[in-house]
Amino acid sequence: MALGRVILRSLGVGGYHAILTHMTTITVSHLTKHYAVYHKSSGFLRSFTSLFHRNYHTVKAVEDISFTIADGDLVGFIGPNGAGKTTTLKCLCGLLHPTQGNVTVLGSTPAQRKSTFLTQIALVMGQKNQLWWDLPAIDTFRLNKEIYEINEQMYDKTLDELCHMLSVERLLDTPVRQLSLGERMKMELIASLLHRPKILFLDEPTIGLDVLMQKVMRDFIHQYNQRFHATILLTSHYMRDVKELCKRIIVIDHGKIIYDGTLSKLISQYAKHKIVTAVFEKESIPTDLLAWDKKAKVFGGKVTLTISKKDVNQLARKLLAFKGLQDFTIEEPEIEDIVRIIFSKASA
Amino acid sequence: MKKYITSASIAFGEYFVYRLNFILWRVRNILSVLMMYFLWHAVYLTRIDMFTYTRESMLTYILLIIFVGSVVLSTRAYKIAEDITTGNLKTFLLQPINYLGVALSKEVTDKLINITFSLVEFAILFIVLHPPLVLPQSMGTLFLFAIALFLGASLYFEFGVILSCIGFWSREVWAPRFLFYIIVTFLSGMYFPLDIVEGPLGVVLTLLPFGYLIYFPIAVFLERLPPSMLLNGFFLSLLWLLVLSLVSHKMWQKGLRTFTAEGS
Repeated sequence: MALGRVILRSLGVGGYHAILTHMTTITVSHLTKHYAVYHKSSGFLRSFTSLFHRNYHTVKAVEDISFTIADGDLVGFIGPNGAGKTTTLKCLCGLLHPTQGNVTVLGSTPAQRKSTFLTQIALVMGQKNQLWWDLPAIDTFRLNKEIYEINEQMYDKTLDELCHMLSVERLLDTPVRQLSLGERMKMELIASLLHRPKILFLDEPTIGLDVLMQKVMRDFIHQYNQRFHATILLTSHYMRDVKELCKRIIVIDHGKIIYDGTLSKLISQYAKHKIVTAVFEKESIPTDLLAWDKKAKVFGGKVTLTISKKDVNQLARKLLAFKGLQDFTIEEPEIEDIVRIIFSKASA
Repeated sequence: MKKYITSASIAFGEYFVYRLNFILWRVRNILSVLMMYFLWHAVYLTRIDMFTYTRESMLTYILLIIFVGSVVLSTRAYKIAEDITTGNLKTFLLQPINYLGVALSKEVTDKLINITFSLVEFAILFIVLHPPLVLPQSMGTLFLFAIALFLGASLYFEFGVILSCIGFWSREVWAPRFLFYIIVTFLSGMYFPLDIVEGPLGVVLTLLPFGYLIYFPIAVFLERLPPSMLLNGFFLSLLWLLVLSLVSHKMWQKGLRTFTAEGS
């Protein structure tokens, strides 16, 4: 099965090179991207002088980053706003020409935007859409069918499958502007996936969606990855997306990679604390327990303590000795908290 | 090829979503031509001949502006600038399709719709005004008229692409377009036939590309040009088309390298 896939893909990609690199779909080496940005000063006089003289400054969006992504992986790309995530995605799909460094995706240089490359990728951005605003989504799908030269049978099959997975069959004929944000996002995904791309770049696909819809999207992305063995690179501000979908994450800040590895390793590397929650009968919390964490949160008979990892065993033994203890749990800190720690360290 | 036809047919569907916009655009066109028509009509009340134009040929000239304008000047090329500045261009760049091919197919759709409407309007005006018309004496003239129209439309499309390319470097694409439109309406022959201007200024008008948008095709239709000037006109419009396509191609290629898909 796997061998068949490799052969098929190599035929699609165009030959020998793909066979050699079948395990690595994306290779980024020393990628740097700088932009010249026009700097407008405030005030009338300065605005006026900008008619004659303009100040430009260079924004170093991405600075010497390298990584590889294997075939069929689902990798999370996280970082604060302006960290360089979207710029990296744009370089990977060929929209931007790198200032320096090399990018190879499916054996091609993305910026050359060859048809063989473009038919195998898709970029979905949560904040932008490709659907024709005034027309029903089915019109965009039909257009994409022609653009990607998908045969009738394959088109019907894929469309049915995707519509079923996202339960949007009844919305195909509704003008896009009358769809809700969630429905529109589902249509965006369908439009981008009709040609069954081998690589999917998702830039904040769940942004602005309610929790229910976020889950639908997450489940869909997971299913798509499994069913079509697609390589997926995902950026998101919702750590839940990353936590549930990606085994590997790349953390980027100020245009540099500050972590690349598994999520569990990230947690053990950066989380020096554990969260201990204990519940006591009749709100009788022992006072010496609170001495373990001066910022302990108390709510009725429940106390939540943030404890250094090395002290956890000792505290657990102590807790068991307390009278009136009903229940207690020891947990890893939330991924959001860990990421906050990483970013605050990086910017310090 | 089919992808471009589908894209044109979808653009066609989109066109009629905003019917009022379209109707008002046509009304504006007819009104401006009617104003010119009645102005020249009044001028010729006391004369038979003026600037070598008879009353019949001048009024035919004015009415033909409706048709020639709808072939040459109806355009969607300004949408290219919109796609660049809003970042929508990104969607097309990520697909195995030539964006300018898509733009061209939409341009053709736009022209077909405008031509259809202009023919209806022309018929209505003919019935209402009973204008004295001058018709070409030979089929060859109609053939040359069609070629001149094609060249004019191509020139205007290239102008549209060049003006839109400004969007790669500046957000302010509206102002140059507005200025360009003023120049075109004045120098293309929309207000008066260019050959009534004599002397060096007349020569300059022949050398500039704008006259080949409106004046030249109509002059071909009215059979006003001697063979040498006909040849000269076709040669110059072809030359301008070549120059403008080279410029637009270079600008487009250069622009794409600086395109950052901002705001998307």
